[in-house]
Amino acid sequence: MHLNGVEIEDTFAEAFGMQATRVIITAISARWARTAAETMTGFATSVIGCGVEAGIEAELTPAQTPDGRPGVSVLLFAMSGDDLAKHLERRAGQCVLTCPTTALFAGMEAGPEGGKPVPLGQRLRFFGDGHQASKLIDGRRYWRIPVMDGEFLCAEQSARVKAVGGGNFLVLATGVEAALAACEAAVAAMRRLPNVVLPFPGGVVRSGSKVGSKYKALPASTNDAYCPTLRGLVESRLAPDIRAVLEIVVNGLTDADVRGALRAGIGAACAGGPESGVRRISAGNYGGRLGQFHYPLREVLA
Amino acid sequence: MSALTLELRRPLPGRVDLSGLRPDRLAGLGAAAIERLALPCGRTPVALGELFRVRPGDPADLRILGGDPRLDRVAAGLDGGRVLVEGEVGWYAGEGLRGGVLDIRGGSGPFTGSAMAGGEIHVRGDAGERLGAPRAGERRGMAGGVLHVYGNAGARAGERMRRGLLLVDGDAGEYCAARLIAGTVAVLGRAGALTGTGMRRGTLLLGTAAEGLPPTFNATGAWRPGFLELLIPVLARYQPAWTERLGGDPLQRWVGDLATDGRGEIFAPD
Repeated sequence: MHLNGVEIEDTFAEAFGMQATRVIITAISARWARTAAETMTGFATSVIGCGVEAGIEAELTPAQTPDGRPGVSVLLFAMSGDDLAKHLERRAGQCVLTCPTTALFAGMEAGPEGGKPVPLGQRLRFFGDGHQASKLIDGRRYWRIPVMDGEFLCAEQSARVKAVGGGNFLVLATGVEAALAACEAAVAAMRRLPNVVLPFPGGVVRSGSKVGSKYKALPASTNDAYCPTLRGLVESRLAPDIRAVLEIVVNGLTDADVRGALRAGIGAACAGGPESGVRRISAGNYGGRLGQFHYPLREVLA
Repeated sequence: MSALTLELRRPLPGRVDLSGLRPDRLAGLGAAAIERLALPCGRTPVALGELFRVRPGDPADLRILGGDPRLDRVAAGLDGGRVLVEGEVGWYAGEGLRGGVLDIRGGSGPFTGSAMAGGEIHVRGDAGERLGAPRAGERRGMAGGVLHVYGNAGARAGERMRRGLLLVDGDAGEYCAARLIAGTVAVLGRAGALTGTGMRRGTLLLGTAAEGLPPTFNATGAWRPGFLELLIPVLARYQPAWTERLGGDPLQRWVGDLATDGRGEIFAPD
């Protein structure tokens, strides 16, 4: 199968079930809301080392936020509800509570399959040292924590849902410039969609990994089959004209969200055709044994 | 199914207690059975049929036509459904309400919504003293729900309130929000003398510049907290004037009552 002349490999992306929540950060300006959100979602690329995967989902206009100020919606994903609660609370406390003028709200309603809600202000409130006050507005509890610029307003908790993490595809190109340009186009297309985030730097990963390592302590190591410099040394998956491979990883709230994002991303990556240097689209999987969600590329694009 | 309607036939012989007329207790009763219900009236119960003309219908949609200031405990303990009164009611209307809606198209007497814990009460006229307040000897006032008075409220509105939202579109009498434990009280008009006395926690919003607060309240200066942007739209759902009255500018804020816990707050426009 080819898309715009770019070969689509007959393989599948393998993704995992995760636990997710959405929070909304508002501030006095879009810039400060974004600052808090970028801080909160920094160092949140992979659960392997960060405990949580997070990203900015969208910028929100004042009309879209609970308190009528500019805002940003953030999605956070973790392997368990406990992990999600732990890292969300830590990041809310260190990155949002600290950021001038911000307020923090729950960004989703609990669905029928939702697990226990994750705390936001429930424990952060103790920062108020007894001066914190709660307000029950329209059936939802908020905490008002006195801080030096006034009050940090923070929802008591946020809903938790089952979600999908690790949807991906690989862009195989004749050079790193071509691979990067295709990935940037893909990231731009995918970031326009709701319910998904791309947790890696700029949405792109260069260090795709395989499971296991020759070193006992490491659970994952470099995906040698796709490293151009290891061609001729290991069993490479790269044709002779491929000089660079980049990967895009997407986490989404539902299977359909991830599927839609992959379709949009691959479409944008292939838009320039083979002349752009993009030669092939592949995907990362672990033989299908580890993840509950499989995305066969040809079926996703069909 | 149309509403179950009770139309007052004649002036009441005395104070009549209507607390038994709740959807859960009226369910399954025919018109004749409803007419036979005994209503406490002083020392001698009266048959409901002697006082009211009954038109059968859905007991979860109860209409009482023709009010009387001696109709006490209307919809007390209501836990769902809707009770509408075309006229005035007496004491303890909606006492201990837990759910549903009590809509009084007239004034109401003292202790309206006393210790209610959920649901909504609307009083389209004026309400008597001790709105939402605990009965004598009780410790807690309103504990949830929405209590909205379109006219004025008497003294001690919201006393000992613990949770919920109390709105007065007109003026409130003296000792408004006295001994408030928590919750939100909003008075669009003037609040009387010694408002907030003994307030522990909770929020009192005044739509009119405050005057005569107890000396045990301290001003904290003009400020506009973020939660107001969430709360004002809720107030405006009941009384749209709140949006303009508390709009855009910082509000004066006082904390108190410092004679007690002192974590209560009063907001008012400059």
